[in-house]
Amino acid sequence: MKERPALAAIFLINLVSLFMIFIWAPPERSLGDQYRVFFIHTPSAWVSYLAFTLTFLFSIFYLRTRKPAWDLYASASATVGLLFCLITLITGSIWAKLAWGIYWNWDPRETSTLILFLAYLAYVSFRMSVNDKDRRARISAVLGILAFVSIPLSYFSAAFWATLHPMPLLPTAKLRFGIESSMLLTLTASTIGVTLLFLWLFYLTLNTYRMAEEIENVVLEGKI
Amino acid sequence: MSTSADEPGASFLQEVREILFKDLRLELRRRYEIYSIAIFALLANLSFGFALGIANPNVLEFVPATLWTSILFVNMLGLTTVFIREMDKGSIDGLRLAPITPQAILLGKTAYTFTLLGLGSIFIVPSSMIILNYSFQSDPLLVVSVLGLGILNLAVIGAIVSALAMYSESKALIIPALSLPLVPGTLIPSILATGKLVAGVTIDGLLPEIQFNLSFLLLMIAVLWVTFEYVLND
Repeated sequence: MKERPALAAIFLINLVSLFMIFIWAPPERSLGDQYRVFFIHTPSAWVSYLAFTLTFLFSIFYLRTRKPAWDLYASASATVGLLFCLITLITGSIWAKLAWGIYWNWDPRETSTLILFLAYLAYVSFRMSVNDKDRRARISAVLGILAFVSIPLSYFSAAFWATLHPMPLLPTAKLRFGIESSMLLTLTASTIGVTLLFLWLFYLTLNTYRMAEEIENVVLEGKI
Repeated sequence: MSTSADEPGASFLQEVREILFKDLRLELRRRYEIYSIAIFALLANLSFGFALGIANPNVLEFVPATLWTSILFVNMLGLTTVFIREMDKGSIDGLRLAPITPQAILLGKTAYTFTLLGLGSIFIVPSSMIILNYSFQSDPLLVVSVLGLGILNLAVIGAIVSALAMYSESKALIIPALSLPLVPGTLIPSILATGKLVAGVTIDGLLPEIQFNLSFLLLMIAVLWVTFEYVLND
């Protein structure tokens, strides 16, 4: 029960961020209240990129050390990353419909996010289709590296087409962002909330995988 | 049978050549696969012809996409079995034990896939040109180089995907899923370049696509050079 304070903190931070998203943040000039999906879309995208970067790093660590724990970390990170990537795709499509009138416009960032989703869906499917534990870990690690490397390639290849997507929120020379400070604060709060939620889900998934592995070992040893 | 790759000090290129010739010799014994590729090419192009309508004035817009879709499917359905076949026959252990580096095995398999896909394209490209009624306006050497580069990239993808898929219980069924993240990186520039070749663009106009496909090839080779021994050595 030592996780309860952490869980309560994550719940509280997300509650505050939801309040800021739906009540505190002012409506946007052209899109009104509809723009609020942006506060879920952007943090989900950040978290999915974080998750897949972690899968890439854990895969390298596994190939270098051959410690099974790194394989479990890579797998758990990819699985949770998939969930946030799906949320990114759905909220992105809603955003596209509101802003440009169509759900899907083959914009490079939209397309590369879809490829990212499919790449890690293939990663998870592949893991399910290999029975031998060591083989699964070794080949999945290579796949985790290949999938990650393919993402910038997909992005830049799709960038040959004209982009409709808004530019990233990079600070200007005077360190000002292109949005109001209250919106920026809401975005920061929702990013922290969603990142903590990811860490919590990662921890839960990891525990589930560990338990599944223990059960598998017991079954293999013939104790059940 | 002794091969030059068995001899001590056999060069890397000799090792690659031995793998390539071994697979080509096997392929010649199974000529029905080459016939199947030719029939598939014809069928795919006919299907595109029926779907688009030959009299459609906008058919030229779709030509690059239909051509590369046919090449991609030939690659996925026919040629990505290069490693799976070794696994099914149990000869993969022979490859592992042979005094050949994993990188040479990968390059040999890629060269084999490229050769077969190139042969397949000899059926695919002309049948597409005849059925969909178009021709390439650019310099023929440029057409062969640009199409060849795209096909080489698909061959690299085909070889690595087949190597990964040989460990999966679902074998060939997992191939499309594994190919998908890698394919757009070369397919999109190749389709765009083919559109320009049909329109008669010179090499200057094709440089962005050629540079992108070359970068793709170099990046893939670099990543696979480091990781492939983990795939092969069980």
